[in-house]
This record gives sequence, C-alpha cells and structure tokens, in this order.
Amino acid sequence: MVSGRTNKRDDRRRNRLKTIILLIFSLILLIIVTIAWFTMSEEVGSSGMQMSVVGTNFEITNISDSRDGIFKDPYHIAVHDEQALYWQMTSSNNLKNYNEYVDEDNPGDQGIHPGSEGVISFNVTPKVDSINLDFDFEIIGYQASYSNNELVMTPLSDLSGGEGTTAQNMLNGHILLFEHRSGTAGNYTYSTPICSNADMIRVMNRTVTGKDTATQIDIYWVWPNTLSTIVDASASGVTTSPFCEDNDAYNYNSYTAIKNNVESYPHYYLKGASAGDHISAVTDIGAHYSYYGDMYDQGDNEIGMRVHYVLIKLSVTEGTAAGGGS
Amino acid sequence: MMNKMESLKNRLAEVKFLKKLKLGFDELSKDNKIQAIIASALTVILLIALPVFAWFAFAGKIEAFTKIKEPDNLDIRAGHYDAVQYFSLNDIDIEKIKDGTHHMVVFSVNAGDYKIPYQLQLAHTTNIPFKYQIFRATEYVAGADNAPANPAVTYVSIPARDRGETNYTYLYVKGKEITLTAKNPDTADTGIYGRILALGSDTYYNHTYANGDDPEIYAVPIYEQSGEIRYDQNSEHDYFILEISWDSTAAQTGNFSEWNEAKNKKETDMIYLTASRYSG
Repeated sequence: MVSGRTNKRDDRRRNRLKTIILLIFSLILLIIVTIAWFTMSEEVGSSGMQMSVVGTNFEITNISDSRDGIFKDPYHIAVHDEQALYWQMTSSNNLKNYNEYVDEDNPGDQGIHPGSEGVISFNVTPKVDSINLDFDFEIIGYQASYSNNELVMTPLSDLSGGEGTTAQNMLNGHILLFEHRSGTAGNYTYSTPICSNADMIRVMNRTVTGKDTATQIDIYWVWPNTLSTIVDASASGVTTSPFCEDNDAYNYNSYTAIKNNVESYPHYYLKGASAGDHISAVTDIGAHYSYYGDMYDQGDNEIGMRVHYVLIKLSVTEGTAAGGGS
Repeated sequence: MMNKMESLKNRLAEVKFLKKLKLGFDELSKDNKIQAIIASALTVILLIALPVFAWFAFAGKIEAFTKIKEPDNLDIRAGHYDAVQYFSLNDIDIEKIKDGTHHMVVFSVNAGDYKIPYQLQLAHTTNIPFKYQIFRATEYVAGADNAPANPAVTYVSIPARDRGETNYTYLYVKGKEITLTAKNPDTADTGIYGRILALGSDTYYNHTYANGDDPEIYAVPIYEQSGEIRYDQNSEHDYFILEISWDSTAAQTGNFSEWNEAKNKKETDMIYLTASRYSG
C-alpha cells in the first residue's frame, strides 16, 4: 500500500514536471517566434532592402531603386512607428530629403519650403483581383532640441501652452497633397486634392486591380508660395492664376474642392483665422487679397519658425468605396 | 455507388477515430488529462494569437520624413549690401534739387537662398513737392577695368574701408525704372493741392489713424508699391537707386503756387522703404 501510494505520488510529480517543461517550452517557442518577427522588421528597415507591409489582401512596398531619406538618422528613427515601413525616396521622387551634403557649395537637400513641390511614390500589390483601399494621410510637425546632448523630438501638440497648435493647423493647409499633376515644372496643374478633414486626416480611396501585380501610386505634394495659387484673387488685381481647375483633365472639380476646404477650415490656411470663421473665397479672399494673402504668408512664417521636421504618415486599410482609378 | 460506399467507409473511420480518441482520453489519468488540455489550449492560442497579432502589427503603414527649411531672409540694406544704418538720406539740398539736380541714393535687397519674388514699397509724407522714382542699378568697383565713366551714384562703403579693403568705393549705373503705383492717391483733389497727395479717408488712412485724429493733409503718408520684382541673376544682391527730384510742374499748379519756393530750412518729409514677399 505504502509503495503504491509512493508510486502514484512519483507519477504525479513526473507529470507535473512534464507539464511545467511543456509550458516553458511553449513560452520559449512564443518568445522565439515573436523576436524573430521583430528582428525581421528591424533588419529590413535599417538595411534598406525591399520590405513590405501587408494587410490581408494587399501589400505595400517601396518603389525600386529607392533609399532612405537623409533625415532618417537620427531624426526619423526617433519618432518612427515600429510597425510602419520607412518610405524610401529616389532622385526624382522625394520630399527634398534625398541628396546628401557634399560640401559648402553642394549642401544637399535642406527640406521643404514655400514654393517647393514634388512627388512621393510607393507600390501596392493586391493579393486578390481587385481591392478597394483607403489611404489615410496625416502630417505631424516636430521640434528638435537637445537635452544633455540627447536629441529630443517634440510633436507640436506637446509644446507647452498650446504653442504648436497654430503651426500644426497650418501644416494641413500649406502642405497640400494631390492625386494627379499635369504640365511642366514651374507650370503644373494639380488635380484631385486630398484635403484635410476636421480630424486633420486626408483620405484617398482607390481601387487597385491586378492580383500579385505591383501598382505604383504617386502622391504629388506642393507647398504653395502664395494663397493666390489656390484661390482666385483676380478681383483684387492679382495676376497669378490658381493651379487647380474645375472639370479638369481628370474630370474632377479640383478648384472647387480646394476652395471649399479653405472655406471649411480657414484655420488650416490663414494665420489669425479660427475654426468656424466664415471666410468666403470670393467676397473676402478674392475681394480683399492683400489682407488674406498676408494671413497665408504669416501662416508660412509660423510653420517656418515653429516646425523643424515633418512626418507624413500613411495608413492603408481595406475600404468599401472606391474613388479615382489606379 | 462506389463513391457512396467509399464516403460511408471514410465516415465510419472518422467516427472510429474519434471514439478511439475519446476512449484514449478517458483512459488518461487526471494529471495527463490536464496536461493534454493545457497543451491543446496553448497550441490553439499560439495558432490564433500569432497571425492576429501579426495582422494588427502589419496594418499597411508607411512613413515619410523631411525637414522644414528655415524661413528665408528678405533684407533691405544700404549700398554694397552694407548694414541699413549706412543708408543715408542726408545732404538733400532742396535749392539745388529745385534747380534741376537729382539726388540719388543706392540701396540693396537680398531675397535669400530661395530667391523669392518680392515687391518694394515707398511710403512718404508730401510736404515737399518731390518726385520719387526707383531704378534698378548695377554695381561696379571704382577703378576696375569695366568701371563706368559717369556713374549715377558713387558710394563709399564705410564697412569695407574699415575692414581694410583696398577698393571700397562702388559705382552704380541706373537701369530700368521700377513702376510704382500709389495705393491711396487723392486724384480728385490735385487741383486744390497742386499735386497728388494721400487720401484723407480710406482703408489706409483708417489703418494709420485712430478715430478723432486730424493730421495735417501733407503729413498723411502716401503708399506707392512696385509689382513683382525677380532677383538679378547676374548679381549677388539686387541694387536699386532711389532718385529724388523736384516736381516743378506740380509745384506751380493749384492754389499752392508758393510750393515752388524751395528753401532748405523749409520742411521735412519722411520716407519709408520696405521690401516684402510678393503675394500676387
């Protein structure tokens, strides 16, 4: 009897041990798998290899022959979302962040400023024949400072006393994104603006077709030099014509779209304007351009004085509605 | 028929397998049962959690990053791009000017790295019947091979001299006139005042004076602005000549014919020269 009980206890102990070993083994397995995933993400991010971010039915990749922007280290990596892909640039598709410093005469790219424009691109590969995608853009401004020789990147929204609010608003109206562009350098016509909404998000919808085929998506960015390039100010004797038209080459009322955005969110475009102000593009801006044009210029100044770096975040999700074709 | 038979056989095999599994499970000791359940649960959790976690982590996000270039300067300075305190309007001899001498002063503008288009504004009071004009100018070093024989302005750069530079005298040749348009002219009353003065009530007037102010009409500034000016590609800085001359025709018309009296102890005018980014 005694020996039987001892055997049973031994068995139980052995079994418990087995359970514990199994648990530890499972945990180790879980950790290994997780670490492997993180390592993979890191590796690809830093080596500049072609990596991708995938949804269930699509994949986002950088375009070929692209490389990391020159402000990646130490600035971008300080604010980078580990789950996001570093958007890589080429000599023709960039945010004035491609050419490295060589010497004083060739200082390389120094970032964007009023009057600059360009295109940035990426690839979408559907895993199904056709997919509707929502592209949500967000532009976030940062101030860079050093504390004990350590770089500190502060988002505008975290600046004390709401100091960065106006500048963050201005980024939504002064750095504009478009789906299309035509014409030649210095004389571009922009079409299909991707305008900021009340939440400072810009949404683009597209249907991308072709299973396992990479489609390049181009996003045209522009920082207009003056308000007269987006709102018609000819009534005030201004000779500059807006760079958007209605019923344009892409069958889109681009001028009206952007004009409406200026009227809906004047605080994104004009320094001194508040959300909810009723500022008409015709009877206010068009008729009194010297006043409103200056508010726009002051907005540029606000960005220039407050913002050191900007992050353009794009998240792509499967959507239901489709906009312009791919 | 054969297919039906086969599927029946398969179904039977499945049932047998499940039964066997159940029996096998029933035969296990309590500890073994717990062990089996934990192992199965962990496997299921692993199978479900990993792809789900990965799916969330892999939501399609991509980030671009760039710098905002610092705002550029638009500087208006004295001749030879010296500091603005060297822009001197002294030594204006009204009596000489009335006799036909034109007083000319040089100033410089730099549109910074971006070379933005800009405009000039000349605001001045109207006590003396002066005519103000602005011209583009080209700079030469005095004594150089290409130095002009009859420059419009000879400018001595005091900072250059103080730095010990050998050549510190610069010569400026007058170029194309910059058209200035008055923003607040009182064109209706030229007959009374003899020439165009500033309006006594308009937006500019209301911006300048508070209600109740009653300034003397010649002290109200008139604002004259240029159109879009693009930087001179052949020069590091843009140079301009401000030319002040006597408006003898205007001075002799209207009720104020005594305007044509030019005495150096007579009157004072203030002028303001500004450059701003062109917003047109």
